[in-house]
Amino acid sequence: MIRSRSQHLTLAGRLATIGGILGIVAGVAQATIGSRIPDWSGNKHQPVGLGLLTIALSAGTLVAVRRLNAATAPRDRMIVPVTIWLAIVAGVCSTTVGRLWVVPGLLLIAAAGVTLAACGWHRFRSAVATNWLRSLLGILGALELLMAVSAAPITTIAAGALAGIALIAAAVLARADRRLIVNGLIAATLPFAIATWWAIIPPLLTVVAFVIGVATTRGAETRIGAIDVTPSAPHPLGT
Amino acid sequence: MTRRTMLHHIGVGAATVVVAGVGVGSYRVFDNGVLDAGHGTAYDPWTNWRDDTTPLGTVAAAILAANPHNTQPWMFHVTAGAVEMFTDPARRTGVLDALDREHHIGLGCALENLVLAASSRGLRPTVTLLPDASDPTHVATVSFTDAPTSVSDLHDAIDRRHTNRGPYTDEAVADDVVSALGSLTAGLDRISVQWFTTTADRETLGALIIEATQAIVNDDEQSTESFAWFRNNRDDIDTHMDGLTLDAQGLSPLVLAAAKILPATSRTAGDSFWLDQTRTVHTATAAAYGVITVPEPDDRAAQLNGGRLLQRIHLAATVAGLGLQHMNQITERIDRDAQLGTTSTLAAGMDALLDQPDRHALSTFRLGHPVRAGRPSPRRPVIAVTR
Repeated sequence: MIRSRSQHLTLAGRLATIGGILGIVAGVAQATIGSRIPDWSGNKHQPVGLGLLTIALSAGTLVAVRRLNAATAPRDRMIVPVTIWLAIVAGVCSTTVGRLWVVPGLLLIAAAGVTLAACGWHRFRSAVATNWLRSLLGILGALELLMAVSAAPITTIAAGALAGIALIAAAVLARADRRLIVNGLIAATLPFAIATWWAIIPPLLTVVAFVIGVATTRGAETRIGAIDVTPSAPHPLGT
Repeated sequence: MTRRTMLHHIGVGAATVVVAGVGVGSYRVFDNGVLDAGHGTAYDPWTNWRDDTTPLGTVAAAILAANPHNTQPWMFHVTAGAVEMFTDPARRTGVLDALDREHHIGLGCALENLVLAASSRGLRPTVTLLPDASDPTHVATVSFTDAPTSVSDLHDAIDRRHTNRGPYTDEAVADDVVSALGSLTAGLDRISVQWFTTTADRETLGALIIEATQAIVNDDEQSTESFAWFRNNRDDIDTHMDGLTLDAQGLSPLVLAAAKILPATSRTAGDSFWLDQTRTVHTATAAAYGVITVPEPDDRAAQLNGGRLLQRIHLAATVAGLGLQHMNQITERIDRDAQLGTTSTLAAGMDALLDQPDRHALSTFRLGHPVRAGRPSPRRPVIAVTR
């Protein structure tokens, strides 16, 4: 069983690595020649920003896979977040580089499927249920990044990128100092919300992220170890 | 299940629903370009129109001119010593502009920008209207000879001129400004502008405009033709690089963002919105109306020269910090009635208002101090309109 899971993870790692590299190539193509190949790049009006976002997310995939392969004892802990990350990147980038994402996207979805098989559906579902609010926070971060790359001018893009990264970081670091995370969330997300107040959604997202961020850190304080999905760990929903 | 667990599940469920809603909204913000209106390839011609100093560069200025429904009904042939301008019949607005009046006025507007751009490039322009009797699509030839560079305020306002469909303040347009705008007819034979600045005159003309708007909305064919040129989303704008957009409707930032995030409206809803805006904003806040008048509004040369004057006035108004909106509903209905062979009450009403037996309305616009700045409309690049 363990050997089978190891093989699964190795296969998933290879698929995700190839997908991530091809994703970076797609991002570079979008950023450099995207406007000249509209049929392939999706005819986007912000090819440079979308290309850079694709590069960043694809690079994040490579980092996640590297961490998954490098992990030893807590390797099981990494499976669920990596699976979710692969799915998020596959989904988000399907809107950023048009047809250039077909191959990388399919590879990342396949990799996510294989990691899911390695983890086991029951464990995956339990872990997701336990860390649902963190997942929502991470999704809000990805949405913030998506809005940021379609913004102008560059200062607004930077503010949006900072907010998105902060939200994802808060989701990952939910067990760190609560005050630090909440204050960091406010400081990082407010500039983008203020700069785009008239667009309704960015300030709304900030409010929702703040509420979920507070709930997530509070939950993390009372459920240390809840993300652990190793067979010896207690059932996450029972904690 | 304990009460606390149940409340926890309800809270998590509610958070999920809210995040899903925010997700849909965020995607609409991204997909419809809510945060970068007026940027991107479709808007690049507004920023790079000065780059080319050759005669081809005059076309870059010409394509920024006012034109009906942003159809950009032009095509150009550029040589070392001249630019030939043609109509693009595929860009007619059909029964909405039944006799191609606005089509040719728009070409006249482009011609004026082209002439201004030539002077700024050290080229003295000589304009010949309708140079080829055997080819009605060939509307003008502009020949160039070398001359000292002459850059005017009007030329420098080319990229700042946008139709302003938003509300205007109640500040009156100063008489000397109106007078200056009316004196821009140099070189344009038998073209003039008549102003309506008193409350009574504005109300009378405003009522005719509302009546004409209602008639267009009630005419399915005209309404359909008008709606065909409305670009509801960013993909359409990037694909076509023409047409009317939400950004150019003069809406407040919040209303504009909501309109772009919500699903696209139907033709009927769009018509209702337009009629309501005409009643409550366009006519209600007009500080003045101008009507370009000519002896024969069906004459192509008069339409082209009328367009040149219209563009001059719009550029001069921009220099003066005024907003201007073209409001041609009355003449659209007059031409539609002529096409259908029906009696036009609007023609009689307009002639009575002008009170000049030998002159008729060519086009109409409103003027005023704008509450908010006008926004650029998408444009096809020079390469797409030259042959």
